[in-house]
Amino acid sequence: MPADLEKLYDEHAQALFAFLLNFTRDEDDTRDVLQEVFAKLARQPELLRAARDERAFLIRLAHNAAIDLMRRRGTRSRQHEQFGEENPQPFAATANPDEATFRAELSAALGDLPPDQRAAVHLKLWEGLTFEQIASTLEIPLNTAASRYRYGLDKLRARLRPIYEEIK
Amino acid sequence: MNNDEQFENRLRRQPLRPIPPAWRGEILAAATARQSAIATRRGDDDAIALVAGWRLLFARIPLAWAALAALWLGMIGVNLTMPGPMVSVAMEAPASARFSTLASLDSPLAEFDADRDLTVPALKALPAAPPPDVPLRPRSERRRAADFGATYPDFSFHLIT
Repeated sequence: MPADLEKLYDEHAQALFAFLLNFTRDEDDTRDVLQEVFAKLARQPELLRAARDERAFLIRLAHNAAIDLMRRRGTRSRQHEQFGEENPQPFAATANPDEATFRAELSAALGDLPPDQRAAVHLKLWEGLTFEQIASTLEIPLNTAASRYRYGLDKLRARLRPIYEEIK
Repeated sequence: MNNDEQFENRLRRQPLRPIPPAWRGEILAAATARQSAIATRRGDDDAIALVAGWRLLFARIPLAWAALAALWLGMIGVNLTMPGPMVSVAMEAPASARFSTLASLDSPLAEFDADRDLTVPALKALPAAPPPDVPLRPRSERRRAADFGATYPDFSFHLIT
């Protein structure tokens, strides 16, 4: 097993897992896409040489692979045209009931967002990327990245306001 | 800090779920296995392409290729059953004759050496030939006389000069 691949996994797999789980809303799909990304890296290790930011490059690979999966699935079955049908828990479990309620509600609210807004919100909030980096990673214009984030955040705020005000 | 920023920070603080530890070995093993499978398949593809190429070549005119192969086999068989002329002579001749043949190869060389021994001293004994007594003339006239001599070899050269 190549040592570089192990190193890449240890450094980036957690971030890719969180992004993919949030984007696909399906644990099996997340695993399939993650495996496809690392298989591609094993097959073409030269891909990373030209990348300035490894993390951003890997997220882009994962994002494109997830979209390909969505399209393949869309051509196979109309029942699975897009992600977001399940409600996996992208957040860590907690013993605090208020926090657990908030996380469950947040997870459901994220699931209701369109995938492109969900991706922008995830990269901004949990990866700490700037709008420029989000635009580069998702291969979209800067204004589009910013607007997707704003629309997504507004929806989350509207949905979570009651519970947020309650536990604040 | 306004409410929007507080809300964003609140969301940002939510810890993400860790990746299942069992995935590490499975994903890396699958990635490496696929890599080696692709490498093996590439080698197989090369072999298959080679065989397909040969098959395509032979499939067009199989009778001609079969006839050519039969001809080659026949020539190889004939070549094996008939040893070469030098080998056959050497194999058929007795051992004494073979040695005498080798000795006879030396005799012309010996004769040549004897001739050289006689000729070289005789040549050394001859006096050096004096240079021809040719009067000095312009090159153009010498050339003209030479051409004339070549055209009329029986004509006396001294009559002209």
